[in-house]
Order: sequence, then structure tokens, then C-alpha cells
Amino acid sequence: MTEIDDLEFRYDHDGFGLCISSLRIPAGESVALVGPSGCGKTTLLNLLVGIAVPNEGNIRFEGRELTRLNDAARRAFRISTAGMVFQEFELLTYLNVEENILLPFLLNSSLRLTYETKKNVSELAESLGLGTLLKRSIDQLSHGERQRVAIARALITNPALLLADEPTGNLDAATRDQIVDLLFEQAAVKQSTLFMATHDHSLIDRFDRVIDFSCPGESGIQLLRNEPAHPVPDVEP
Amino acid sequence: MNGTFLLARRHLWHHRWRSAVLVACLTLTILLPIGLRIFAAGFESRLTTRAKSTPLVVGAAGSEFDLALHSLYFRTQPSRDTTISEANRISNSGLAQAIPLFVRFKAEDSPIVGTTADYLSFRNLRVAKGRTWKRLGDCLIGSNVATRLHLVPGDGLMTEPEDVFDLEGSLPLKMQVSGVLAESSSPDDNAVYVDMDTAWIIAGIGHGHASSKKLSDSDGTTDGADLSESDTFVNDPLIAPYTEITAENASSFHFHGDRNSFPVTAILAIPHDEESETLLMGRYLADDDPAQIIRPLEVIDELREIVIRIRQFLEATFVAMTCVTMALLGLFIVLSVQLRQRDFATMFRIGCNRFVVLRLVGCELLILFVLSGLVAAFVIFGLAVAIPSFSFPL
Repeated sequence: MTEIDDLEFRYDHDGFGLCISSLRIPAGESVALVGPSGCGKTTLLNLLVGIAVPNEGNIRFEGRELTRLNDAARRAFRISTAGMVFQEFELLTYLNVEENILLPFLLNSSLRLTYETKKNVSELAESLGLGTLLKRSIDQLSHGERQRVAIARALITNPALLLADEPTGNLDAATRDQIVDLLFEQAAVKQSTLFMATHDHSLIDRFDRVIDFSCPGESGIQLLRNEPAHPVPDVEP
Repeated sequence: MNGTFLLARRHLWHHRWRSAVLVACLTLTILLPIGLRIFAAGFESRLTTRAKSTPLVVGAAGSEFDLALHSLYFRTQPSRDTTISEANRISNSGLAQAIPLFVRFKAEDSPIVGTTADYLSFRNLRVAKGRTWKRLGDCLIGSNVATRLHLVPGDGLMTEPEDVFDLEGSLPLKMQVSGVLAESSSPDDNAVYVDMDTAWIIAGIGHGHASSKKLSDSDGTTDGADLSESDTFVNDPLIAPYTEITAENASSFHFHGDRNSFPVTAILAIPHDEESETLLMGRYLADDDPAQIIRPLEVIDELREIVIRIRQFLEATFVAMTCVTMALLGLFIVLSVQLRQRDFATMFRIGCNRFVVLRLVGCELLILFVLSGLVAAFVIFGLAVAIPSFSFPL
């Protein structure tokens, strides 16, 4: 269960922020965050994994209160519990496909790189259609293949929380559908809670829940634009 | 750490040309000062070792440096020669053993050293192949000369004229290699040794030709080994002198003039004891003496002082160069980190420690420095093995 209570977050530089009085997402659910660019979708994703820290309020994941964790503990939470897929893939071009998938293990000594892990990489790559591409350079891959590598990287740690920030923004319709199918399929296999930020309204029917940032009153989220926060009532699913 | 090392390795390999340029710059920065130090240490050591083993040198008055370098390394040419009578004078004084040297000509770029058999025993030079010189025209060659010219005992070796444009100068003489000296890791390995008579024949003071007739011999024949100042010859100027000394023509070789006035370029003087050394030095104190005596070690020490000053100057230059290289490397790292901000942002979002960036850059620098150190060591080792004279240019 992901729980947010009385959360208020505001950027220092422009005063923009979010205010969420209450949000409860059960484990394994899929949530679409929709709305125009700059409306706060990425901010919410960052808050959910501890990249951004709220000014007030609480975020709990499976009972762990993120807001009470220090920086190191939040990083440990991210690497062990969350997997992130980015719009621009954010792959390291100097690593091959296999090494990109293993990046969380290469960056964090708390994750042990074992034979089992390598086997998992092969299986995961196989399931994502990357089985024959493991030793390829990133430069040699198509857009769709790159995004699949990014998804594999997010899934390799078996995260309970899968976050995708506009993962289909740069893809054509066919590839977009493939990628979304894959995300749902893998989230279901790993029983992960999926949060996906998107401005593509054609996808929202597939999600268990939609938080529309363009209708803040309905979603229980208030956008702060250099104004005092006015918490909105609780929203139950 | 293994993961960071892999990332560093992969990043450097991905930008391999950039990395190669950095390694080349760092290698030069490491190689030049260390190479200079090794080079200078070897240079100074060998310079003094050779000088230490040579107590005194006598030669014509002039530059002390020229005389020292000439007698120790067969390098520079003294402005004037002295005579063999000077060597006889030293020997007859009973104060020192005199070993004459006449080094003016070359054979295939190697100096031809005219001397006596005493020189070989003085320098502990051993004949590794063949035998020492016995006949006029025989030569012993240093090990490097034998290797470089692929010569073995029995082969011929031509001398080079002193000046190819001097039509009245001496003609080239074909010498016969009688033996090859064992390697001594000294300038002796690069020289060709002949006895004094052969050296003077090369210089044109003695020669032989078909129509030579020794008037003092009743039967008209002579033996080259029995040449004396009193012998008189008549020559046919239309017949060219021999350019090779063989068993058949050796008897026709003869010298002109007073043998006491025959030139030597330097005389190694080995005093019997300290008192003899002091007494011998005292004999050359007069300002108008046409000869001079030097202690090579003192002269070489002066030379070493100059080498040390040059080395200090170069070291200061290298320190400045190292500072500039390090500053540029620092700038390069800062720019590289800025260019990689997006990569690092991704790493942070995934959950990596902020120190990973430091570790990553540190690892990359470590790899670059280790690689540069290895390349520098390899180059120094390679140069020392491939070019033995790298540590000893004299």
C-alpha cells in the first residue's frame, strides 16, 4: 500500500508545488498520472521514491515512512524497492545492453552481482525480446529496443514500486503499445505497483486508477502556484 | 568498487582516442623527468667510472675537456698532437707507465685507436674471438663494432680518409680483423684497435709500394717489422702505395722521418704510487710547456657540474610542465563531469551514492595514471634494452 497524508511540497525557485491531503493506492495497482507538461506528474513520482522530500506530510510505502528516512536510507529504498523508466531512456551509451540492465548492481555495492543475477538478466532480456541483443552497444539499438532496455533495468531488482515517467513520449504508436503492454505484463509478473506519468489519454483506460492533474479538485491533488495551499478532501478509490 | 571500476573502464574504452591522448600526455609527463634522472644518473656514473680508472692523461697543451673526452671516450679531437717521445720520456722517468694513444681516423664510423698491448691489459679488455694483433695491418674490434658490421676474425675493414677532399691525404687502408674483444659496456666496445705502427701507416706516415727499395739492404728486401729510422728507400712516384698489408707486401712498408717525432694524440700515464703521481704532475707545471697533464676525474667532475646544472634546469622545466599538464587534466575532468551530468543524474535517480561520481572519476584517473606509468616503464625499459647506449651516449 502506498499512502500519502497531508503532503505539501513546494519548489524553492518558483514556488510551484503540490498539495495532497490523502491518497491510498493498494499494492499491485496501476495508476496513470495524466495532465499537461509541467503540471506536477514528475514531481509526484520523485516524491514517491524519495528523490524529492515534502515540506510537510507523510509518504508511506508498505508501512515504511519515507519522510523519516535520511538521504542514504532513501537511496537504499530507491535501489531496493523502486524501478524507474524515463522518457529519454537515460541509458549509458558506453555500456552494452547487459551492463545497462545491470546498472543498479554496478552502482550499489549492497546489491550483490551473482550468477543468479546474470541468469535473471538473460531471462528478463528474453522476455522483453532483447535476448540476442545483450552484448550490443546502445548506439546500435532502435528507439523501441532502447526503451525495453530501460524497462529491463527498472525491473532487474524486482521492485515493488515501478515508476514510469512518460515512457512512450518519443515512440510511434505501434512501439508505444508494445512498451505499455510490456510494462503492464512485467508489473503483473512482479506484482509491482505501477505509477505511470503520461499525457496520452488513449492509454488511461488500461489503468486501475487515473489521477488527472488537469482536474485537481477531482483527483485530490491541489497544484500550488505561488498561492497558499488549500487541501482538498480525501479521495478514496 | 568492481562495478565502479567496470564503469570507469568502459567509459575510457568508449572514448578510447581521447583516453589515448590523455595517456600519451601523462606518459610524457612521467617519462621525461624519470627518464632524464635515469639517463643523467647512468651518464654521470659511467662518466666518473671511466675517469676514476684513468689516473693521469698527458697531451698537447690546450683544452682539458677535449683531452679528457678524447682519451677516455675517443670523442673530441685535441687541437694539437704530442709526440711518442713524450710517452718515452714518461716511461724513462720511472714514475709511471705510459700508454700512447693515436686516435684520429675512423673505420665505418668507429674510431681507430692506435695503442700498445698495454692498453688492453690496463682496461681489462679480453679477446673473445680470434687473437690480438700480430702483423702490421691487423686490428682488434670492439664487440659492438663486430655486431654492427657483422665482422668476424679474418674479415677486412677499410679505414676512412680523414678528409675526402684532401687529395694529398692518406689513402684508405684495408685492415684485417684479427680478433673481437669481449663486451666491456664501455666506449671500448665501439672502437677498433691497431698497434701504433699500423695507426701511423693509416695516417700516411708510413707506407709501402712495389718499387720501394731499401738502399741499406744489400739484397734489396726488407721486413716491415725491422723498420728503423736509418733505413733509406727510393720510391717511384708513379706507382701508388699499397692499400692493404699482406704477407707478400708487408716487407715493403716503411716510415719516413724521425720516429721520436711521430704523433700521438694522448698518453695515459699510470703512476707507480702517489709520490710518483705528484712528481710527474710537477713536471708539467711550467706555463710554456707544450704538453699538459690532467687528472681526468677532476676534469670530468667539472663537466659533471655542468651536466647537473643542465639537469636541474630541465627538472625545473619539467615541474612547470607537470603543473600545466595537471591543470589541464583538472580542467578536462571538470568539463568531462559537466558533459556527463545527465549520466550522473540518472545514477542518482536510480539510487546511487553521490560519492559514486567521485569514485568513478577517481577510478578513471587511477586507470589513466597506471596505464601511463606502465607505458612509461615499458618505454624506459625498451629503450634501455634496445639501445644500450641510451644510458650512455658518449
